[in-house]
Formats: sequence, structure tokens, C-alpha cells
Amino acid sequence: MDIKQIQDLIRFVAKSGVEEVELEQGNFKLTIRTKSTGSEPSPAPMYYPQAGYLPPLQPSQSVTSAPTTAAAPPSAEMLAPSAGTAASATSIEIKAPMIGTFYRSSGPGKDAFIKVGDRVEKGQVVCIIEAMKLFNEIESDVSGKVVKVLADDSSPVEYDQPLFLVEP
Amino acid sequence: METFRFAVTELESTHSTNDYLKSMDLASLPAGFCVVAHYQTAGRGQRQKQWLSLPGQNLTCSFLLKGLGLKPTQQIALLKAVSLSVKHCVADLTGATVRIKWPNDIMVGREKIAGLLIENFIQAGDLVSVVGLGLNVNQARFPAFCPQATSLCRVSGHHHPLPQVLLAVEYQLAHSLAIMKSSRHILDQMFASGLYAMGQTHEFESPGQGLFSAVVVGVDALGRLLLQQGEQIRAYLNGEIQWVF
Repeated sequence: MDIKQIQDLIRFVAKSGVEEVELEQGNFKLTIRTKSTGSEPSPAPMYYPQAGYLPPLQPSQSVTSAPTTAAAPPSAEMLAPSAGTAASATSIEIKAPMIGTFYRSSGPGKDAFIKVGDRVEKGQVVCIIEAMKLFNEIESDVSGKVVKVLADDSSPVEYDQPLFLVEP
Repeated sequence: METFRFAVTELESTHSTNDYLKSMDLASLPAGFCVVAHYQTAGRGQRQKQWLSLPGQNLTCSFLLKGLGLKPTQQIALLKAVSLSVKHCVADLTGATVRIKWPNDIMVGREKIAGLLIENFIQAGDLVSVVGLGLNVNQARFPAFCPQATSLCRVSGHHHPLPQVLLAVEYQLAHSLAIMKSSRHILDQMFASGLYAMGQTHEFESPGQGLFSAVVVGVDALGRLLLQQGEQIRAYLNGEIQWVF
């Protein structure tokens, strides 16, 4: 077994999720252990490809994961959601300044003040909140593109509840 | 009492005095600006409910109120002050006992005499309010489909000149706003004691509970109606509950 094969084997074991692999070929014996609980990177495994003899890897030298290969997939997975949160981190919520009933239009059968995809300007009326027959035209305090409507038409909303998501 | 000057614009007829006033440049108009229409062709109650009024017989007007130092969350105080002013005005002109049916109707007995429609805007952090009032004054008969309506003339038994009624409303409005500014506590007490069916059992209907009886015990800080059933007191937003007659 040459060094290349051993390296490949270590990578394979690291990826497989198996905790321990023992390999014996004549007087050649190889044990690869992975630290299933360890999350901190262990020292790089050392090999002693001395003629015909390879000492078993010590626990301290055991393979947790090949830093380059094993680290890559999770980070790729992490990227997608973090890209999503990055987008909403830049978006601004228009919140309810009071408790009441949320209306998206000025009256039944009328067009909504704003829809997803619309451009909204600071000071533009975005909805009506009605509480105890007090009708409040709520103006946007930001300018940008409406990316999401967060409350249902004619539904009760709480104080400070996000109503719209706007990307400035 | 702080003087509150009202500037009145009279119109022969308009769609709705609230809409007319809202279409004006509210920032440049003085607080207390009032639009009165002799005839509202499309007077509105809350959210497009029609307010029926015969030409020249009733008071339909809208006041612009601003600079009252109210935060958006404190606007329930404004509803209380305006409701109280109409209540007192009707009581002064007729001698009748007048109640405020939560949230925005003014009642004599079991009949409605006036309704309010308040629309608010927040301009530079200040609450700007357009207060619409429909007060039945000299209308003697009402259509069969709104039997629970009455007017000043029906209650008092005589004709009321509209300019005099408007003056009475303005006087009471200034008075109530002064109380609101000086003591929110007194305003709350006056409103609670003026509530329709206060301390009495009444029938209600809600989507969750269906038809039920409860005792009216007041309103909370958010203006929600407090109803007691057995030991339990629950707060209701309007829309969550309806009075059943």
C-alpha cells in the first residue's frame, strides 16, 4: 500500500462517517479512527511509510476529517441560508405603530396601497390600521422595493408587528 | 379654558366632508378648520358604510385637529374627547340622557343620534386627525331599514337651527380637548361613566363565542371594550365583537 492509497483511504474513511477502520495485509496493519465528537481540528495525521511497517495511528493522530474535503460541504450548505439572511438583514420592516385591524386598501374592492414588487417612497401611504373606529393611514418611513407583505388583509395586528418588508 | 378657534367652510354639497377635507393641504390649514356640508351625497360611516342624511336637515361636518401633542398610540384619548363633546352637546340641546355606544356611536336611549368617523395621519411625528361627525338634527322620519335612529328634533320636540348646533359642537369640542390636555384621568372617568350599557348585561356576538351575554365594565388603555362573563373579564377590539339588539 503506497502513501497515495493510504491518503485516499483516510479521506474515504473521513467522509464515510465510520468511526474506525482496521486494515491488515500480512505484516502491514493500519488503523484509522475518526473522532466522532471532536469538532476541533486535530493535528494533521502523520504517516510512517517505513519499509513494510506502518505503526497504527495513535488516537491523538487519528483522523477527524480531512480539513479541506470535510469542511467544504457544510460551508457550502451554510452559504445558502446565510445568503438568505443577508438579504433580509438589509431589508427594513415597516411595523404597526398601534394595535388594530390591518387593511391593505382604502376600502372593500379597492386596490391595495402597495404590492410585492412595488416601489414605495418615504411618506407614501402603505396601509390603514383601524382601532376602535379610528382609521389610521400608515405612511412608510423608508423608500425601497416591497419584497414581502407580512400580515393578512383585515386581520388584527399587534403593536410593533412587522407589516411589510422593504429593500432600500 | 384654552380658546380653540374654528374656521368654517360651508359647502352646498359634497361627497363626504372627510374626503373633501382630506383632499386639502392639511399641513397648511389651521387646527380647528372645519368643513360643513348642507348635503352629503356619499357620507361615510366607518369603512364605506353609508351615512344617510337628508339635504339641509342634519349636521354633517369634519374638523381638522392637530398639534394636540398626541402620539399615535394615544389616539384613543382623541376618540374619547370627541365622543364626549358630542354626547354633551346632544344632552345640552335636548336635556336627554345621552350615552356613547362603544366604539363610536352616540345614543339616546336605544336609538342612534350621531356617528363619528375619525381618520388619522401621522405627519412629522404629530397626529393629524380628520374628525367626521354626522349628527341627526331636524330629520323627523327615518327609513324603515334604519329604525334605530333618532334626531335632536325628535328627542326635544322642536326645530334646531343648524348654525346653533354647530356652535354647540364647537364649544363642547374645545372643552373636551382642554380636559384631554389637562387631565387624561378625568377624561377616562367621564368616558367610562358615559358608556352605553355600562354595568349592565348586554347581548353580544363574536366569531369565536357566537351569541353571548356579558356585563359592560369599561374600556382598557388601548380602548378595547371590557366585558365580564362570570369571574372573567376580557378585552375586545371592535371587529372582534358586535352588539346584538
